[in-house]
Amino acid sequence: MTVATHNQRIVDQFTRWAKPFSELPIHAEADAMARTLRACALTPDTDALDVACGPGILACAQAPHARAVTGIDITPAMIEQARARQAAAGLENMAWHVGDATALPFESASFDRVTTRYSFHHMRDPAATLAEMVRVCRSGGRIVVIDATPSPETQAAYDAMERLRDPSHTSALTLEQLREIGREAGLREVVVDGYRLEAELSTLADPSDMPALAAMFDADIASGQDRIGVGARRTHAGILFHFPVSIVAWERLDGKR
Amino acid sequence: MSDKSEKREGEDASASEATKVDPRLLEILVCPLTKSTLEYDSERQELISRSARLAYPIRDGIPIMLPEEARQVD
Repeated sequence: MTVATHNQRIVDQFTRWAKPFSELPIHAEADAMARTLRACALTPDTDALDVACGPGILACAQAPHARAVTGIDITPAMIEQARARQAAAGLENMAWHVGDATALPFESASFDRVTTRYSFHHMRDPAATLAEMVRVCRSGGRIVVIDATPSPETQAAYDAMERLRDPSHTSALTLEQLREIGREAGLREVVVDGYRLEAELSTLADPSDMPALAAMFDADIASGQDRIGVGARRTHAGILFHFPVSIVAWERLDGKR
Repeated sequence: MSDKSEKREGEDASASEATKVDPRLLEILVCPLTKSTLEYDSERQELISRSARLAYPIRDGIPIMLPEEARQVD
């Protein structure tokens, strides 16, 4: 598959999901956001960039704590949602762009904080995105990546489940793999944190995908071994599970790249 | 880009949507392919990369910084 085809797959997927994603409560869950903002360590003179910002949930949460926040996403429908969110929140210090995370349209060393949340698992080469994030980050600035990180034992099953749910899923890195690409980029790790993001399967899947997904989850639940690594369980509300999310923050050091 | 963007407020009222873009943020925008600076064309609402020979559209005040969405220029 070419890069263009994969990018189109992302745009197709997220054009359909732009509004539901914007409204899903789990994406704005309070403790998760508090931990994320703590890792971002924003100050009133911070210029922040959120890469693959989706409907702008993280960017809008950052804006009250920063001088300015810029969001960029490859899917125009997501940027429309982000603008609407900004307007509803009455935030002024924000800008939005449509663009590709692996070819950011910003001068080097333009931002103090460069973040991306729930995006690396859509990328064929997350290290390329991280390299771009490092490029546009000022020396002494901070780069923060938040994403689901399955354990090494569950990674293959987790990826299979996610690909069924979302064709633009590539692979979720394990925490160790994520830390490694940070080391390879010459970054100094400053925060490793995480949280479980609770979710209800039917709110995150197309109805047409539900039979196959439910069968996969039911088999996992029946095995009692949590092979997908998401703590799947059936309740009266349907199939519940959690995303195992990690937060890794690095500092960009002087003299690196 | 900077001299044009300074003028544009007074000379082009139709671009009022786009002028909401923070000029400081327009200044840090570069061509995603060549990372070179861009010229701002307030009339056409485009950001022109001479080195890539592409004009990136600004739609409803949002710069579309994707080469596949850009117009070829000489």
